[in-house]
Amino acid sequence: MFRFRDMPVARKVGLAVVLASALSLTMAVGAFAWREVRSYRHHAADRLRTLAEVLAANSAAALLFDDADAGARTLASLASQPRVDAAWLLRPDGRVFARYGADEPPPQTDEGAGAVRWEGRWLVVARPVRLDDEPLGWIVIREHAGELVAQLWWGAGVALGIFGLAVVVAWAVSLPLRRRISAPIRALAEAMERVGESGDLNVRVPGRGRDEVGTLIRGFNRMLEQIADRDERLGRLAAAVDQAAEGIVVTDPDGQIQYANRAFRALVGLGEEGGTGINLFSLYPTDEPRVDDLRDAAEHGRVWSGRLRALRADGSGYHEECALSPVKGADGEVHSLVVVKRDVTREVEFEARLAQNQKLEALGTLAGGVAHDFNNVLTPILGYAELALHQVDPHSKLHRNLSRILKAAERAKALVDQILAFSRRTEDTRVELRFGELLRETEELLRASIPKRVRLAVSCEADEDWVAGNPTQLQQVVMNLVTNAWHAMEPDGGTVEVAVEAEEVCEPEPDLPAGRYLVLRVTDEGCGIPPEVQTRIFEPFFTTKEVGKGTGLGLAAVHGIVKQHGGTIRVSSVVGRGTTFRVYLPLAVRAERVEERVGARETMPRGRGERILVVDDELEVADFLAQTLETLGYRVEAVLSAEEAWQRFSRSPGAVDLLITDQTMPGMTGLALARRCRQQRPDLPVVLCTGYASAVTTEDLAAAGVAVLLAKPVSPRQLAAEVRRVLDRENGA
Amino acid sequence: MTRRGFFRRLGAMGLALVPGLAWAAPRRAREQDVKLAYLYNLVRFTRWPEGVPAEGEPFRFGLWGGDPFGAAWDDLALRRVGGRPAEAVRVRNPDEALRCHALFLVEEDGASLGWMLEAVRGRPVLTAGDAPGFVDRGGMVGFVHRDGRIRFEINVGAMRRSGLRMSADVLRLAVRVVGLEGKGDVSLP
Repeated sequence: MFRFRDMPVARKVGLAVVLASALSLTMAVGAFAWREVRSYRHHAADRLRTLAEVLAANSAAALLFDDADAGARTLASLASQPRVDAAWLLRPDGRVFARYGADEPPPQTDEGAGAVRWEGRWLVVARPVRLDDEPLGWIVIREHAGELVAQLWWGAGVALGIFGLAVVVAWAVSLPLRRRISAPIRALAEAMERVGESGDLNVRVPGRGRDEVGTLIRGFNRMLEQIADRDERLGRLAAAVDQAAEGIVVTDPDGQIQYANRAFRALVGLGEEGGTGINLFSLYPTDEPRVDDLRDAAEHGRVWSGRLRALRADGSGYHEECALSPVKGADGEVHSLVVVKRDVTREVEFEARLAQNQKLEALGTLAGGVAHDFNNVLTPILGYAELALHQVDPHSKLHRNLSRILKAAERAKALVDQILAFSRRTEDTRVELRFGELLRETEELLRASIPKRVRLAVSCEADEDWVAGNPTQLQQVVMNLVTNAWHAMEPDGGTVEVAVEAEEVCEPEPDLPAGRYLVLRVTDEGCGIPPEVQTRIFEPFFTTKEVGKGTGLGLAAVHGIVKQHGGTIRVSSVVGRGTTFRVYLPLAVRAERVEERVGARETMPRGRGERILVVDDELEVADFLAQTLETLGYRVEAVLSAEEAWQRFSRSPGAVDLLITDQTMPGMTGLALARRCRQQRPDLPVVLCTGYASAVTTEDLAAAGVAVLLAKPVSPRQLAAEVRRVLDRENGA
Repeated sequence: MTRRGFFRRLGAMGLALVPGLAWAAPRRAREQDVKLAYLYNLVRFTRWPEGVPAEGEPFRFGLWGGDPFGAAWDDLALRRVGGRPAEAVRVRNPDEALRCHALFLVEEDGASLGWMLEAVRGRPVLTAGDAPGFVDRGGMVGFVHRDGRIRFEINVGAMRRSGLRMSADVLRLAVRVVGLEGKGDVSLP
């Protein structure tokens, strides 16, 4: 069905014009016809009434004298009235006295005197005939209204003609009119359609009229401008949101994602257009307790923020910082949720590592303190045991027992060394060396110590491998790591891969500043380290090995050494597949090669009667040092305080060839003593013994003129070697 | 009100009027009654000159030459003519006749009829009579028998000379009208 509201405006206007003109014409014609009929009736009635009156007057005598013929003759005069088709003269009792025209009974009438009445197509008038108020009878005249009907028909025909003509004229006249009216509306409609289809907001509708359509057009144009303006602003906002560094999602109150920005898609690992339809809460592991808080906040329309473990689309986990803000409508209901996420996995790991380092630091301080005291106990045990060993018959039972004491004490010292290495309190005697060479030298030792079922693949080649370090300690790092590696593969065996390579660290981490590093990689195919254990492997005395098999100090020592060298360790491990340790050591820029003898063994060099002043506040240490040096052929004077030493030295500064002093003493430190003595004798060589190697800086040592720093406990061999070296250097200088 | 009801009422009214007024002439009424009724009706269609009857004077019917109507004549005094009360008198001499406005002359003696007609000739007195050739003898209205009914003849000339005028409607009803040429005495066939 073609409905009026679906018509084009032009047709509507045309229809309205035609309908309006038709209606007004109909009304005009109707009014005209009504007036015609009324006028006709009026005139006809008047005429009939007059006729009746005349005839009544003329009939009185006929009635009075009972002369029906005369009555008929009177009525016959009506022949001059063509419309009158019948008339009757009645006696007072209603009987017909005379008639004219049709031979039919007179129409009954109950009207008053002279009333005119319509009877179908006839107009009937009845009038009493009187003489001096005496009723003589009635005259009834009937007129055929055919003329009126014909007139009406003719009028109707004319009206219809005019009507048709008027409608056609109205339609024709409305053509240009409705074009003028509908053209701007059509332009508007077309523009709207164009905007709707193409979204092109630059469309403008021409129109200058001051009428409603003109207002509409101007309003439309203005609206388009505003929409374009708003679109631009929204676009900027959308771009800002879409390109924000944080992942931003908008969800419905149930968490169904309706919008996800680029960062979020990248964060969660969704495709370019993905994200919508996923539920926000499905992106968290079920065992993450804080998801419930998040969900609760979403349900109650609260703001919430915090760190959670979250899942990517592929199921892998990460840490995020999540801020949830509910968007409420005017009704207070939550309409949507805006969630901003940031990947904080690195921060979380940094913090965990930092905490771990702090823990290890604390442990190191504790262990270091214990080890230092223990060293002081060990020094005389070792010293006297070795001294005594030289003094007894090598074949005696006493000699064997002393050897056992010495061996046990040396084991204890090794343990203490490990602890000190972990706590980074060992003497820092670094040289610049090529790690590749060190590894090659260590390889021999490793091959000797590991079982045959373990294959060792060592790759020593690296373009750059200069590092500044203590070769003994670095060797210990390699040894400890490889030992751990093959232990992890027991009893099946497998391959331990050791390699060095240079690596550039571009993204600094708290314990790994940017720069070039030498990386020592030790990979095994062992049982792997579970994640919960990974955080503890560097703690001293933490071991997963059977009781008696490990000391729990190996990795702790490695950690300490590496830290002391300004490096760091990374562990990656898959349970059942193996573990990779990566040791990062800062590369030293060095072109020239320095030879360093590693593990050189020689007989104890002897003294040639040089005068040595020994200071140590502990009697046993002082005595041990004095006895050892005297045994080696030096002339020794031992004192128990710095003050005493200063008095002895200042009495005859030239009578001392070497000062061996403890660092930590009541009253005056070894360094202060050394500085004081060297003010008197700037060429005086000084050897500083200390349990806390790290407590003194190289600058302090240089300023005090200390030639060698000896870490306690000092072995006689080490003492002999260092003293001889210092004295020879002095002599040579 | 139905039309039938209306006509019944109209008829009843008409019938009620008949015995009292006798303005129509029922067929079975006596001949004299009809003549008397006609006389009255004719008077109603006749116009007298200005001032006749004089102001305050009743309309006077006069009867001369016999008494054919009996008590019915006296009943004329119960009627009114032109808004005036009527009087019915018996005339004995021409003087009395001249005081009347309508005079019925009974045919008894031909000689005296002529004499009386002569006496009122030219005077405003409507003369009526039933003598044969009444109008030809100078009378104004003469009742005659025609087709078994009482009809009348009118002498317009006599009426005109007396200053009386008869309604044209009545003239149409007359079986004979004489004196149209103004000669008065001449009768027309």
